[in-house]
Amino acid sequence: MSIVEVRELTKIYGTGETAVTALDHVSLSVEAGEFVAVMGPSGCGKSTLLNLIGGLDTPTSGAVLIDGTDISGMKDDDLTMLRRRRIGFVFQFFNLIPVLDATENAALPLTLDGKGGEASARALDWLGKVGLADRARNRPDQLSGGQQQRVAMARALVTDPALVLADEPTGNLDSHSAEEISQLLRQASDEWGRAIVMVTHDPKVAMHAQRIVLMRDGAIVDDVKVGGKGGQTAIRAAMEKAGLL
Amino acid sequence: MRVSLKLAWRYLWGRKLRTALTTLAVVLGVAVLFGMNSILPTFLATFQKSLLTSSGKVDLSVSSESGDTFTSAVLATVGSVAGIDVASPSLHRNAALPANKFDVGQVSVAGIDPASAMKLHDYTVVQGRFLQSRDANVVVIPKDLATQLKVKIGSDLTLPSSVGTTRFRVVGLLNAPNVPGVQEIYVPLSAAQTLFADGSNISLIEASYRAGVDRAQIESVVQRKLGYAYRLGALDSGSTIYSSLQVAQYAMSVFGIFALVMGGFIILNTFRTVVSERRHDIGMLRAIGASRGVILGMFLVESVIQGVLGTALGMMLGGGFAIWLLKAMAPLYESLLRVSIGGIIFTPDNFISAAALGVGITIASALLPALSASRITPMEALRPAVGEGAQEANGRGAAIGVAIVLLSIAALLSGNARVVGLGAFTFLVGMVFLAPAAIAPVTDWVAGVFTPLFRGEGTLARSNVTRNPGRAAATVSAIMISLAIVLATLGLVVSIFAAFLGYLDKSLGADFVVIPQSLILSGGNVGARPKLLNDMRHTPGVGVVTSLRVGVAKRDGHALNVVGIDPNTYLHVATFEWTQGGSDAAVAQLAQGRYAVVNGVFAGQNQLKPGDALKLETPQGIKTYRISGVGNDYLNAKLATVYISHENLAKDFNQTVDLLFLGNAVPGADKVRVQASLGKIFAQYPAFKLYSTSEWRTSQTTIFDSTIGLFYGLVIALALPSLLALINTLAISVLARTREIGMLRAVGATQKQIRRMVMAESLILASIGTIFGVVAGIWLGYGLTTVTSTFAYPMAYAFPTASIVLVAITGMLFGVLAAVIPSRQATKMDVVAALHYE
Repeated sequence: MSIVEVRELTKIYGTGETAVTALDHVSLSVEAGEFVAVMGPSGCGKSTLLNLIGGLDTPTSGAVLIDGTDISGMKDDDLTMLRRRRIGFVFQFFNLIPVLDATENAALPLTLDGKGGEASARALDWLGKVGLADRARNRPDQLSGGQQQRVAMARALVTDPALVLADEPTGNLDSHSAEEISQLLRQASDEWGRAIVMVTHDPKVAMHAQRIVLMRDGAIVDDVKVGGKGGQTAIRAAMEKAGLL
Repeated sequence: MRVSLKLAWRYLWGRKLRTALTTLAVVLGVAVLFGMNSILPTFLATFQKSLLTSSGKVDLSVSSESGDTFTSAVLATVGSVAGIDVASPSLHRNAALPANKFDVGQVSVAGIDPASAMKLHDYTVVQGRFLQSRDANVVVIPKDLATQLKVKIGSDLTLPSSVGTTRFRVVGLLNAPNVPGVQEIYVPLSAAQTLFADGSNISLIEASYRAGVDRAQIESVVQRKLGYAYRLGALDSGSTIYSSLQVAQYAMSVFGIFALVMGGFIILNTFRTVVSERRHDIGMLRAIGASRGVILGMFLVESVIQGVLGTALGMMLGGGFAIWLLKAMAPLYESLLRVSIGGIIFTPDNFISAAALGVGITIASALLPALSASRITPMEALRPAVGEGAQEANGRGAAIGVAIVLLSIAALLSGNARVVGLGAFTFLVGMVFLAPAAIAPVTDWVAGVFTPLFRGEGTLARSNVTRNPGRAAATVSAIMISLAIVLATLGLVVSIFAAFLGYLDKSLGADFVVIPQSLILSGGNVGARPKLLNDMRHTPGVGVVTSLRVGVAKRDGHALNVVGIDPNTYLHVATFEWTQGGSDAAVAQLAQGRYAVVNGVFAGQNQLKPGDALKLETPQGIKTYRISGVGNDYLNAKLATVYISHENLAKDFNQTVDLLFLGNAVPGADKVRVQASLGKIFAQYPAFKLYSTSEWRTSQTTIFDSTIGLFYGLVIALALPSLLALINTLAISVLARTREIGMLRAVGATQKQIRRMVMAESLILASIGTIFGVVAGIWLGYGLTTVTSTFAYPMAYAFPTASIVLVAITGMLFGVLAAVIPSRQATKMDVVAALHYE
């Protein structure tokens, strides 16, 4: 069964003459353990799509199903619980709480869920998996950008969610750190079985995904499997078609 | 909840300066409220103790109407009344001391029953011991009297007695005179009865009540049992001194609440900014599953922690300040009023109200920002951070503000005192509403002054102020409110004192004033028989002399001072400041039957005017007086007072003793010599003090000056929160523009230029706040003076020029001081880090 099922999703901002269609009847499904990169020029609607999948925004029409449950009509409290327990988020600007250390930041979703007892141990476990065991007690201002994003990865994975949404996770990192985070995301998909939906501008980062969805003007223009012979060429052609190259 | 608590605590701990500044706002507010409410009850207790019953534990005193002694059988009658706990008999008589032997001419001998008296009075023995039941001819005297009489423990003190003289052995020295203005010495009751040949008679019974009894009922039972030949003295909560001190307490509470509200204002402002600063954190928390409750809880927990901490520290600071202030003022009160101030009193009410208001206002102030924080959507976390853009002022708020200000102006022009007073307060409220819209135009104008001083940085500062009118307006409002209150208070105080000195000059046309040691004309003072007045009149060089007498009437169950004056002589040496169309003819009318002049405080409280009937409960029953005029004199300006003729005071109140004298020298007489002659007479009357009017004026000015000094202390406490508001706003404004400051540094702005920019911003905000504050303060002061003038004592608004200068300097000084920390913060920024700051 698909972890994510998007059906005819439309999002229109504003009304009347100022109305802007950010998403126009988009449909997409993501399977368990699949790593999908969403690419497209600025303003094509990729972040809007991610926000709607994450239950951060509400669609104008259409439906989003997470694990078979339609979240489009959910109330705020239910959406909050969904995000807390079943979805992990990674943001471009890390968004760590500056006054908490790495372990406390990574443990936040569990702490919010009242699982204070196990939160710290599980956070430490995940920090170890993302290679930050030795910086567990450092606050964000004592960590590099790459390290902060790894803490954010640990936070996204700590609740064992089926789905991780990453919005430009490498957009604020140097190339070396970007490569590390990309590999971590791939690992989350391959080893830990998470479905990953990642929005990115960077083709090098996108190449770590198993599938690339290309968008333009609020619609999906191509959906390409990566890997195997001719994969690179196919992606190149698709990106050119999408106007990314 | 645990997560809210953890986050709240970490944010507070991680932002120490911000936490300290916010908490300090609560500390200052609570300190003023708690401190003032600790000082006032202490004063109340002191005056209660000193002026009316001479001890806090005495609930009731019984004496004969005639002032004579009475049979000790009355003691049993009083003691048998249900609800009376202790009843203590005593005999009080004055004893003249041989003039050639002592500097002191006369003492008041109190014969007491040591066992019961000690249950009612605190006799602080500093040396030796107090009286005991089996004592015979022994005496305990105040320490300073012992020094004057040159006696010590073991010495003999010879007192004139019915058998010539009697020797008493001094066995103990007391700390201070228990009754101010009276040098009282204590001997056993039986010894006093023998000394004065009074058989078993006594002159006073003092009693205390059991806890929780109906005081008024006991009084009426005692009065009924004893009849009207006996006078009951009780400090009821309606007595004029008590109410006037209570008014002071309310006024001080109002100051405290003002300070707290300002603290609340600062807290609101701080939390608002904190919410906008943490927008991304909140958005992220919401995105990863924090409910709205968690976010709301986090801010509320922060406010509770700061509220509790600030309130506790505020109580300590306020309590300490109160103790220090009382200590500092004690010598002044002891030397001028002969009142010894007791230990500080912290009432449970004070603790409860300070705690409730301190914590309550903090939480209430944080509530709105916390609610708005909980409404931040998770989308905020994903939105890239942008620099602080320009914001528009709220048009609706401005319209409300303009409407309120217009109404206030109409109120000012109405001429009705109550409306004028109310209008002054609404003006402040209107300005708070109007401030966000007024910021931009006023800043342009003010910045015009600073731009030449700060050049390009001035222009940047101006745009920084106007880009967030809401934040700038909150800061300006905080400065405005605090400076306005300060200026209004100073304006009112200066006006009152100017008016009092004016009264003094006008109403005391006399050359000499003879007053009891205790200043206030009321019970507790030793009066003089007509002989003294006669002696004064026959002193060479003395012209007209008039005396004032005092009786106590009851009206609506409350005690009321009735001052007896001599209508024939009073106006030769004193005057009334007439209101409501009164004239000197009102005084002449006093001699023509039951007529009374009432003062402004009394007329205002009771809505009375000339021609009205005034029913007074006198020892001779209820008597109706007709008001001949409403006028004020200096001595009674602060207390509700009724003036009648000596003749009526004797007839209806059985009072014939003189309590105060005003006299003139005959034209051309050598006043110094006349005063010296009078001084010889008063050497025999230690209860009185003779002043020339100029000496008296100086002593009064000293009291006023020291009181104004006290007000300056208050002013500092009230003004400090606005400094905090300014620091907070600047610090936040610098933080919000971190990236922008980084850019300025990157394109070549020097550290000095950045510092100047922050300083200019601070000075612009401080200037606007000060200008608004001065205008509002003058208005508020005028309003308060008008109300006081109409309902209490007439006075003109004394334009507080010196206070305005003081307030303006304070405002600008705050502007400079507030910029110190934020400008350091701005100049110390690492340029690269600042450019990447989110």
